[in-house]
Amino acid sequence: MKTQSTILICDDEEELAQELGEFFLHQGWRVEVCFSGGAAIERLRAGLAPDVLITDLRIAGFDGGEVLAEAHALPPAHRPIMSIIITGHVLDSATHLDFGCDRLYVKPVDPDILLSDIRGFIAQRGEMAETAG
Amino acid sequence: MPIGLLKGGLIVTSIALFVATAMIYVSQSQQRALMTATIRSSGWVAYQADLEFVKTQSAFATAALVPSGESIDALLLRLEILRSRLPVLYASDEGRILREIVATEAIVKPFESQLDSLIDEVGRVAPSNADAAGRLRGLAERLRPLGQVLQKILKESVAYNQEIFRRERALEQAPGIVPLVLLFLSGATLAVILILQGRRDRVQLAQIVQGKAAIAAMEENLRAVIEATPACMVVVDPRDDSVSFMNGSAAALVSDARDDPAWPRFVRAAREAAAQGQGNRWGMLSMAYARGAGDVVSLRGSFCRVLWEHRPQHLLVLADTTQVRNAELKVMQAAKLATLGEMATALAHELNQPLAVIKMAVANARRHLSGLEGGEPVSAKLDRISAQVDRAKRITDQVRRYGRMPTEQLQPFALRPALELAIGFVAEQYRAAAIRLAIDIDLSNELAVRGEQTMFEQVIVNLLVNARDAFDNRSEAAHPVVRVTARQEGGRALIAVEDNAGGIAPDMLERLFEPFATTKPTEKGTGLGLSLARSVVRDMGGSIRAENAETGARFLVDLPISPSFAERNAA
Amino acid sequence: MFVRLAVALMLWVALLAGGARSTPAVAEELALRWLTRDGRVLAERTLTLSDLDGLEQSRIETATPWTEGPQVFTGPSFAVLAGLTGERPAEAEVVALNDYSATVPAGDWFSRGVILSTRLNGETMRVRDKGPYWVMYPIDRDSQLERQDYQSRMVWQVKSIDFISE
Repeated sequence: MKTQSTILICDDEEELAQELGEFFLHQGWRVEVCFSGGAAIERLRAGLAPDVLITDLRIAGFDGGEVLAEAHALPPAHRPIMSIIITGHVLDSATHLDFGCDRLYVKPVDPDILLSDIRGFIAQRGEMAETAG
Repeated sequence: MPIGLLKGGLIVTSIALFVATAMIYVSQSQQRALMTATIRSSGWVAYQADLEFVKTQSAFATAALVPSGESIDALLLRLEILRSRLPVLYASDEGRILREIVATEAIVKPFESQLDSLIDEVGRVAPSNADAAGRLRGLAERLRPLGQVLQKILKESVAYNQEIFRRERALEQAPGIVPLVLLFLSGATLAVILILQGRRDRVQLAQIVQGKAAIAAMEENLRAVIEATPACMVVVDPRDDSVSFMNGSAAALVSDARDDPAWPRFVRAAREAAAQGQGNRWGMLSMAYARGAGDVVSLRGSFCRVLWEHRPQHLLVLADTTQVRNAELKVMQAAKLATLGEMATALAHELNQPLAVIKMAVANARRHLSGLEGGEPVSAKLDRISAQVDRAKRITDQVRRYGRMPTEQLQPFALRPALELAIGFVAEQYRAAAIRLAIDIDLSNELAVRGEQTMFEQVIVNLLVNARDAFDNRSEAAHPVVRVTARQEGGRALIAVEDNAGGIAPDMLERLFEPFATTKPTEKGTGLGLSLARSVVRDMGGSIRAENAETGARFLVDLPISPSFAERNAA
Repeated sequence: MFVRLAVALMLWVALLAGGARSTPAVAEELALRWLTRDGRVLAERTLTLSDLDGLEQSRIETATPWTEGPQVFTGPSFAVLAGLTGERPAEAEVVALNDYSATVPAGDWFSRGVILSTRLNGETMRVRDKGPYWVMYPIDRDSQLERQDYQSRMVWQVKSIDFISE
């Protein structure tokens, strides 16, 4: 178990990315912020290996889906435990499964809910990992 | 026209022939008179000479019988007279005619000198002479040849006269036959032409009368058609824009009376509208006419030229397009709304971004405050800000949903499971609020309706949430109950959500389904729920309405049934 | 024999005829009478050539159907003769030596200029030359006078004139 979790936040809305980053910083996370899909992919390839990846669906020049794809293409050791999409679109019947991520939120997202969801998910994964041995 | 020319020619010819015939008659009569007189005279002259000869012979005989001075004087007188008659046989008008028959002069002239010497010799005879008688007889004998000549002349002249008379008689019987025949012919032809012309004129007259009758009948028909036409037809006199004629529809539109001042106003408005249309007085025009009392009618029509009551006038035809206009306006409205819908989507999307930032910033700000003293008021404000962001989000959600195109995704889905799902969403809330949910769904599982299931569920959830929220205002309603019933009736499914929360104010009932009409406080209601519900139900081909029941409000949803899965599969 | 009888008969007729009328002893004598229409004698005159010469003379220069070229006729007009006794006759019955007669209406001497010519070209006329007296009209002056009815009034060898009053 790492002592500190890493979260990569990608959004071309810089202010939102900053606030989100500040929020997780206060929670004791290590935060990396990218404002473009290209930067995010570079970071990933450079071996960032975040625990959680949060991305917008449409980032300047890059589809959020591509970032996710890149993340999932990483070797398992570097793959993020949780990938989250936060989007401004109001999606009626879409779910996270449609996008190949673990969670889907529509903006504005309640940060407390987000935090608890993330903690719960990782704990669950951790148990499973332990169980799996 | 050739007939006219022929007629004219025949008239002239007839007159000319008539005149010619008359002249021929006159001249013929004159000629005849002249001829008869002359013929008679010529014969008479010959006869006279012969008569004188006989008288002379008798005078000779007398003198020869009783020679005396007196008898010889008498004889001399007779001889003189006879002698005087001879030149008349050729030197007179009659003589000149005689000369054509007999060469009188040549024959008679020698006897003149004979007679002259005879007279002298008779003059020398003394009556006392014993030989006187014998001498006289001898002289008388010398006259004989003259007598024969005179006889011959007489006979010839008589014969000629007979010939003349014969010819005259023949002429009498056939006087001027040629001009008469021609006159008759021309007269007859003229008469025939006039008769034919008369007949043709009669036929033409009959045709004209018929034509007039046909025109009158056509005018009658036209009038009837114009009267029956539902469009307004007005005939306007271009000289003063007064109304020459209006049909029933026009009278109903403007006024029954032609001299009503409303008419000139109307016509002027129409002309202005026409002038705007194409810059001239003709052509398509579109106008609104205020009939008074706030009743405005849209009209569309045109002016055209027409011959009315034998004068060129203007016909104004207008059709009432109020309904069409209203429909047009509605369509434009709908288009605007559709555009609005699209804008709403973009708007929602755009709004969500700043909302997200605000939310995050508020959460972070709260963190900063958590340890500080005196941070409660600020913290409260931050809470308020956060709540408003939630509200804003709900609004953008609803707005976006409201602007959706209705033609998407009308799929058949089973009604019963959808209802149960929707009820399930609110079940927890109802338990929490201690409101009883009475469910009575009398539908087969296969019964299906067409629409978008999630939206429909939204509607039911919305109704149930509204019902629950209705109880918030009413303090301690005994046994709060919300009844949900559903049943099939013919080809329709009827769903009712009824509460006993006291009902809705009547003025609210009217405006319930309008956007942004809400009875709820701001934290709870966006006011779009029922409006959205109505549009969703409408998209499904059904209807939704609200009414006050005995102790509360009742919402009724009426949906057409789509052929059920089972039925379709079975078929 | 038969012929003789016929001639004798004719002679008697001639004598009778001759006797019925008053024949002037001399051809140059002109017997004038004025009668009423029913035959009552109003007046009688017998004029000689010198008597006629003593009357007012008229002159006509004209061609006639019986002569050649223009001829000059002189003699008293009928108006003068008619008015000799103060009567105003309506017509004159002119009788010739051969008993030919014609009626000259008063209008002819009032407006047609009819005369009783006694001399032709200044000379008296022998009986054989249609004398002694010849009724003449101014033919050349009036084309109407060429008509037969006027010609028939141009009586020659006039022996008597009866003026008839109404």
